[in-house]
Amino acid sequence: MTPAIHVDHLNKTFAKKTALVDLELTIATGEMVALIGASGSGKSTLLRHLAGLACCDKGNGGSVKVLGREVQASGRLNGKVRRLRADIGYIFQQFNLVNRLSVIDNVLLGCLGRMPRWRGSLGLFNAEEKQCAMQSLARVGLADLAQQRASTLSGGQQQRVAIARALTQRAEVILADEPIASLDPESARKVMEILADINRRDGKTVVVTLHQVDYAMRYCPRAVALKGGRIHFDGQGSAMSSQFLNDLYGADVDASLMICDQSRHAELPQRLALARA
Amino acid sequence: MTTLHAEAVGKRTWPQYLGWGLFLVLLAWAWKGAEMNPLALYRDSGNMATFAADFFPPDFHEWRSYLKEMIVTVQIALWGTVLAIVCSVPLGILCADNITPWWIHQPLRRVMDAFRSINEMVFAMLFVVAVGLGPFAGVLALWISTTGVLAKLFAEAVEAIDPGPVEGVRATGASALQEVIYGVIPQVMPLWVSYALYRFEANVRSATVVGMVGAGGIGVILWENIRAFQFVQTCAVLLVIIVVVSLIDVLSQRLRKRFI
Repeated sequence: MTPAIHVDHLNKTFAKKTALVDLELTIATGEMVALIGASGSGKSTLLRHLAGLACCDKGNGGSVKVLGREVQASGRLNGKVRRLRADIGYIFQQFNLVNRLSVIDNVLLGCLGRMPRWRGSLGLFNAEEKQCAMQSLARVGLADLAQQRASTLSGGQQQRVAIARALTQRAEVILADEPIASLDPESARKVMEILADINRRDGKTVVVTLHQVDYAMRYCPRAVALKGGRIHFDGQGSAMSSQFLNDLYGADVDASLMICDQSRHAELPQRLALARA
Repeated sequence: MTTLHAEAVGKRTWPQYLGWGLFLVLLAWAWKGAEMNPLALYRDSGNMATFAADFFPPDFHEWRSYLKEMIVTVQIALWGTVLAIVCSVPLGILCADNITPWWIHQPLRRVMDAFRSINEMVFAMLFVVAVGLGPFAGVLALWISTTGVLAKLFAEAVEAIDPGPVEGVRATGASALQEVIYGVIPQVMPLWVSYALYRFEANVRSATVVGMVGAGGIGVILWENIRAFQFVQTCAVLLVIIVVVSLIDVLSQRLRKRFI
């Protein structure tokens, strides 16, 4: 069976800094994977490459395949990348909704990749597409806000609209880049529950980058930790020790901050155990 | 302490003195070129008072034709502006450096610069030769010069957008055109409407002038009256212009406020 995501020897260098180094990663269909690591470790860069939103190095860039189709290789995006993206849902840290459009119009944008271009450009969505958008919105619990402008919603609600957009897209792979980094704990929990539900019930492959290690351990069976653009750890989330996390996040300051963060989530006993360890 | 303080202040300001000095030299130099002669205002004040008196009372006998031509002027402005908006939407997007590569936006911007740098009066004179006397020449003149201005303003609005929503639309598998339609246009719409209405106001004023070179509207009557030294009629025409232009300004401002 072809893996959902296959990354082969991926290299990315920004002006001076190397962001990804010879990175290899295979994710099977139906997995839910957390990408963790400190700021600048390359996790967001990796995710952007998976969706073809960024382009790898030209010479020895390697390649990215999603659902068996090549998204990019050696610094060149596949010519059909725009249609490929329809199968790859992307959730952004800053939601990236179109603020002045209504919630339902934002969700309908998810249909664009699968309908004829002329119809999408004129905004002529048919009844089936509209129904699909409403169902997606109902699934994230925001059907009653359909006609409101996206900008009037709270951050957590906006992120759920963004998930509804990815659901309408009927993407097989969902990539979420720091989806809860700008949210309060309650909204963050809701967003993670929805992502986990999409993974469990619909069997979609979900890859999510996270700052909060406790969320990663709670929701994602598999965790991949990046450090300096290389894979530092790949395995069961629960296998990560606090010693390992200290190492991953480098400075002691970061680790102590993380432990504070963990102790705030009192409902997670294993997190407190970790803090004591 | 006080001397130290004074020195510090003095040190800080001497380049400013130099700047002001240079500015004064520039003014003196331009005084000669512009043949400035404020004394003439005083010396010939009698003449001017007589001249001003010739304007009153304004003669509104021909008010029907004034109003008719004023409406033509507004019609010229309306069509000139609408055609310019239609062209400026694609041009504004193509001139934005965050949308197109340099080899598209740089040449296009130079063309827009040219459209803008030549006054609509000059275009009106050229189009009068090309399509003959009449309002259509005025429409064409306003169309060209307004396109130059609006495309630049539209492009600047596009360059200031938040790239996030555009990327959000891209991630759904949308085409490049759809990214613009759903990611860019909704963001710039309020500014674009505001700019377009403002240009319409400005074009009503400009349309009164293009008439003076034969491109139709109230300007034709204005110029005929001035040339015939019929100052009471000139005064009436000027009053009609003032009233209509002010009215349009107020209306358009109201409309603009609804979009901001």
